[in-house]
Amino acid sequence: MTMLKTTALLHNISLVLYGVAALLGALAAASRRIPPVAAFSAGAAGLAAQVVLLLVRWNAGGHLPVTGLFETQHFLALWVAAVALYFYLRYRGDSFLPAAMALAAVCLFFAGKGPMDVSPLTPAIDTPLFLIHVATSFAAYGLFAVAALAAVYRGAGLRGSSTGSEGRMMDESLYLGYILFTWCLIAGSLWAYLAWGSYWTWRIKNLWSWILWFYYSGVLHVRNRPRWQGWPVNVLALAGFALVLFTYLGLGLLFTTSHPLLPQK
Amino acid sequence: MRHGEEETPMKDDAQVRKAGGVVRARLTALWRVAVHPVTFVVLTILWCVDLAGGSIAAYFNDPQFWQKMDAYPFNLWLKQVAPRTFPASLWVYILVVLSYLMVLSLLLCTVNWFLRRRRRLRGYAEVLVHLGFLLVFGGFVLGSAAGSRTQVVLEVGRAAPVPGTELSLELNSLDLVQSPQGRPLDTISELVLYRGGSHLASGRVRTNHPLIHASTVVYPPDDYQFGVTGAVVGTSTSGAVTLTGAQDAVLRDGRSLSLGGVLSSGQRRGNLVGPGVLVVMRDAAGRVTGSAYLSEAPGMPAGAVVDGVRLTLGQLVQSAKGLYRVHHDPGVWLVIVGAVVLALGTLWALVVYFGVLRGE
Repeated sequence: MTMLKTTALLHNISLVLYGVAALLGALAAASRRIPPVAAFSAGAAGLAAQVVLLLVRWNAGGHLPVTGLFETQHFLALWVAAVALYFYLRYRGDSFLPAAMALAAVCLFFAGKGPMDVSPLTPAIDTPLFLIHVATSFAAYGLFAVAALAAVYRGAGLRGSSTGSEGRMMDESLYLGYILFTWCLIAGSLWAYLAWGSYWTWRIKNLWSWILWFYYSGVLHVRNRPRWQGWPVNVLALAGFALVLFTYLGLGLLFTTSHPLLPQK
Repeated sequence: MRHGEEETPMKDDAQVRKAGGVVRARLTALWRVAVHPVTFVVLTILWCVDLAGGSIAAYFNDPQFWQKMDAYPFNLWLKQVAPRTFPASLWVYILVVLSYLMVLSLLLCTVNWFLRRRRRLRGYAEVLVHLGFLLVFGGFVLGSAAGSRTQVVLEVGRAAPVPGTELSLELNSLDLVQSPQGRPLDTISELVLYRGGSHLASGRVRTNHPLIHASTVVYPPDDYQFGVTGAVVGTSTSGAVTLTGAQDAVLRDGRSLSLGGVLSSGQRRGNLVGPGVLVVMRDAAGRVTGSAYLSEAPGMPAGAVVDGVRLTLGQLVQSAKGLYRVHHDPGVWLVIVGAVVLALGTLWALVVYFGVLRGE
């Protein structure tokens, strides 16, 4: 089987399994006949299929598969699913699972709309710094997505976990996401210094990445302050993810940036 | 002594004490506001809004705005270019003010941490992140104020001074790296950096692998050219002469030959096909008396008679040249130390986080 066929097969398997996990999770929340562990199992199987897919592409391309829209969206979905499964285990977040799995499935659905072929690394991105930069970036984006989802649960008064730990889930996602995004910026800046002559460039994508970093720096400073509890921190987490989406997709699609989403002619 | 005269100094002391208390209370309140996390957050939000709006507006005004800005150290851009584009550059001035206020807030917050000698393990992570960022900002300010960005065009085998510095750069070889389909991918340059004739550094430069010496970095060529730069031409009156863009040849009778243009391999102009050279003949007064295109390409003439002189193409002089960027940034090492401290802070935060998890 060719790499592209394997990719398509594993992609579809993980997409279907995440969809099934979302459905089973929603049914389990509505009826006691379906155990939440069924949704967890489907989600874990989807995650395993995704990991195999990325390993296959890593082997085929000879580099960590984090280039292009298809792979980055997979990476985003992988982190959303992995964090949701972790929250299921740690905080008994069985009610949180269906929404997170649905989000992962949506990411994969859009990933499948684009080309799936593995592109070779150009000399500019053929460096471990690039791979660290992109991998940590999308891991952070995934965590910020989970934080936004937890904010929706909190805002809507839904219980995301049997232990009532939605706030804790959001807090952890923001905290870890911020740490990973800091590493992303450090690796990106060092790479930019070696490749283009400056750790700081006045390019729109870079500037918006710093906006994102400062924004979440601010969120971390107030997230545990009594006056900011409740709706303010929920709104901040949601607005943060809107910023993430704009920085990741909006800028790449609307502007000519140093981080094009589609292959350059 | 009257009663009132005795009372006045006491009253003054009380007023002074009261005024001192008010000043102290106000200063304390000001300090609390300055070091309060919400102050930093408000400044951060303003900074983000200004940069977000400004960056999009600047892009729509001029999509090349950022590339132009990157060509200068920031302070130079702020002094020379920003005033010319005012009020479109107003948001950059606001950004600078907000950045300094934000950094001041962060600095005071960090000082406050040390004054209060917090001993929580988690606090060390925060303070390392703060210190790391302050160092990065300090490095950026230093680099913006005292840094330089210049370009040097070098031909293989030649050295050239780096404008505005005591440095010179020599290019020993320039090779093109191509894909199996022949698409240019990268270049590899062998460079030597000198200061006043003394060797400073040398190395092979390619993408992601610049030549670094202290705070000076030389980057691979942004633009490069492989092609014809001149020719050795045989003449029926004066033997072989060498023609380049910078070198004409004077014949024995006072007339001269010069290079009117070149076509590299694969280039065309009208009916002329490269590689080849256009040789121009001038009389002693400098008037053009004739010209001929001499080429190595199949079907093109390798010889011609111009104004009674037989010209024969001996050999084309081909060379490679590249445009190299030389950046000097005295703040870069401060930035690197800051980045390391910042990374250590986040690693510490992660360790604390997992420690808390295990504790639960």
